[in-house]
Amino acid sequence: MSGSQDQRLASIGAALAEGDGARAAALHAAWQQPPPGHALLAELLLDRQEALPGLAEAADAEGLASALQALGLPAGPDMVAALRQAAATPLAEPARVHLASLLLVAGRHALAETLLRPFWRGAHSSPMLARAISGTWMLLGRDGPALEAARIAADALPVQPEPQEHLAGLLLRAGQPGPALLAAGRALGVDPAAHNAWRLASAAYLELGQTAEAIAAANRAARLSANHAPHAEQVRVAHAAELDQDAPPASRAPMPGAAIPAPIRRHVPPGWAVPAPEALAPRRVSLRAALAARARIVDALVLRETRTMFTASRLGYAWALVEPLSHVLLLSAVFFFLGHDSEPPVGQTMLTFYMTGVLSFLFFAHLTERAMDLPAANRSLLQVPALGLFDIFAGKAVLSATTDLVVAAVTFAFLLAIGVGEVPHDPASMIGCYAVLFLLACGVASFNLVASSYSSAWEKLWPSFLRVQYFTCGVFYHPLDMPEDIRGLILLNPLVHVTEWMRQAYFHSYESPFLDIPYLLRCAIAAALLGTLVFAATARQLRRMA
Amino acid sequence: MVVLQDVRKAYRTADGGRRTVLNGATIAFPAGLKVGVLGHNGAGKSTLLRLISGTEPVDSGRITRHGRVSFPLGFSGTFHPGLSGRENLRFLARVYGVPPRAMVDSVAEFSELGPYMDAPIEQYSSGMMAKLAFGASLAIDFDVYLVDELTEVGDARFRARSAAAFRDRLRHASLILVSHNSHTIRALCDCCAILWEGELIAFDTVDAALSRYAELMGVADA
Repeated sequence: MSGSQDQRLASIGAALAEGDGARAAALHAAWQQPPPGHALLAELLLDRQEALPGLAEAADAEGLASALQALGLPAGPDMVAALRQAAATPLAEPARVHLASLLLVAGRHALAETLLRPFWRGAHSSPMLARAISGTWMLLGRDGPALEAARIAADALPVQPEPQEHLAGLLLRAGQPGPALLAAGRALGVDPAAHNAWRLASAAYLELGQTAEAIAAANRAARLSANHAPHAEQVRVAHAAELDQDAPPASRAPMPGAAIPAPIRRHVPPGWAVPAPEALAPRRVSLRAALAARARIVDALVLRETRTMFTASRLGYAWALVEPLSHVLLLSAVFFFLGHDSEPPVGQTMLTFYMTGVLSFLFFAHLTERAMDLPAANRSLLQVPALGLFDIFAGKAVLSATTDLVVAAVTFAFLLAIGVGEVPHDPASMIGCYAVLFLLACGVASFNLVASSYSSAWEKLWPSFLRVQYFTCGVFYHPLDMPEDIRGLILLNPLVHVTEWMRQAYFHSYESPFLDIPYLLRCAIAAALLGTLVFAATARQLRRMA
Repeated sequence: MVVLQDVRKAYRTADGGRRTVLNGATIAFPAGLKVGVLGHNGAGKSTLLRLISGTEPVDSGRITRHGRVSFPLGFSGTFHPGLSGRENLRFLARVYGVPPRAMVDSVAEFSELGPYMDAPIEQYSSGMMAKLAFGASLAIDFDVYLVDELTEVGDARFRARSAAAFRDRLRHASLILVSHNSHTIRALCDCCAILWEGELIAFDTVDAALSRYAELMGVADA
């Protein structure tokens, strides 16, 4: 009779060990009148807490021992006492953990996990339980959860070396020698004589390639406990092999299928490190080669930029055109429908008058704005020795200018298509105007690049300055509309001359009374010189700041 | 060949102190030679490498570079996360004047990334990223390779293959390897220098350098 009772308990235990709780519960439910000892063990494993204290009183030591034997467990008095205690206080963690550790010692890892599992509350578990379940999971080969639980235990018990050591061991197993070293270090901070921590630190140092430190730590561990002497010996031997040049290092055996050519040892001339006099002469690079290299690099940067500017959008670079075009086209619509009755100062419609002003202004605004904050934004690119800050600036300037030229061309074509515009009267002059504008914009942009790197206020000031420019550079009005004393001031602004030049080149009937190309050119050259000077003076510094 | 002439370099540390990396160092890294530079953590090995590559300016003195100097081997910081592996490689190829197609083909074969070559590299695992970066360094024929702590990536087979490819590259190029690991230096270098308190001390043999380094470290420990 007791044989069949033993069998029932054993099959419940087996179902639980396989993780099949439902089958175990079904077996338990179908079990009629089990002896109290058997029932106690089964209900404990199934975590039926209500009935347990009663069963703990009912069951005698003999019954408990026979139940333990039914599961193939050792039935010594300490085990029986632990079982009774765990059943009598089913909510008390220490009793549960004590019984589980006895089960671990008996090699029944899965049953220990079954016991601990109901008390596992993730990050809210008690450190004792987290430590116990982490060890159990480690023995069950579940390193991931074991590591998580070990962390919880180690965080909750920072003043005990053991949880830190346990965590260090798991981190080493997980291939994280750096964090493992930190954990071992915390254990040693609490107890400098923690020999296991020294041993773990040694293993971590080895993984990190810090052989000298590994040896020192291994020796320390061996001095504190003879258990670690073999490990220390092993580390010392490995290091000696490394120092002994002729011995073939065992770890470097060739991999099958991949022939490793032996390193070619070159004859090292004595005094190799002393520079020969001819090596001190500065390198000469032909200007042509240098220019070709720069052009190639700027080209690469422009291509990269077109791809990266709008990687999130399927439209890609097309988006770069859509943004200013939408701005321009929206205003076109407004002027087209509202501005019919107002007479423009130049040309037939307000629309063409406005366009001839705003497109060149946007060219200037975009270029000078995009140059800001370039060193910080391209920090990683500057890690490539072949790339300089100038290349990045040039790439940005070329891309910005090209984009705005395309926007201008598309807009003029669009105006022509809807029949409100005309073919530019003097395209060559228009191109000349853009060339001077490019020079002016690059000079200012270069200054902006430097200024924005030194002062974040400049980054905010410049856009507001541009907004003021939008209304003062002659996009919406003609200098003739201004009173004479104000006009004198306005004409000092080189951008007004750009607007005038654009209109003169576009409208065949218009000859600007104010356009002063030599003045504009002087401004552009001065800006370019100033920009170059400021840039050259700070480029090295900027690269370092980036 | 890279020549340092009376180079000084110091930088301010976060706590306001001043740390000297080079204190008037003069040294030549001759063409074709594989030189290891040993130094403890914080000696300024990485700064030295950045000085040599030109991404960090010297305080005074001069660095002359003959031939093409690499970016640190396996450096992946230049890759744009939104671009595919292929596009990133094309960019590097253009910068260094290598035919982009040849570069992409050689890295694709070496790194075995397969379809991932066309995926944005923000989807790459760190191992894949390292393979791509390592492949890119090898696909450009630099005259001087700069290596900061040779780190190995991938499985054993890939490591063996990359070691072989790197050794092959070094037949025609010179190497400047900074490390605190004597094992790496012994495996790869012809000769060795020690970076110690602002001085670059050169030794004719790796052995001489390693034993001197052990002495110096012993002093530091005491």
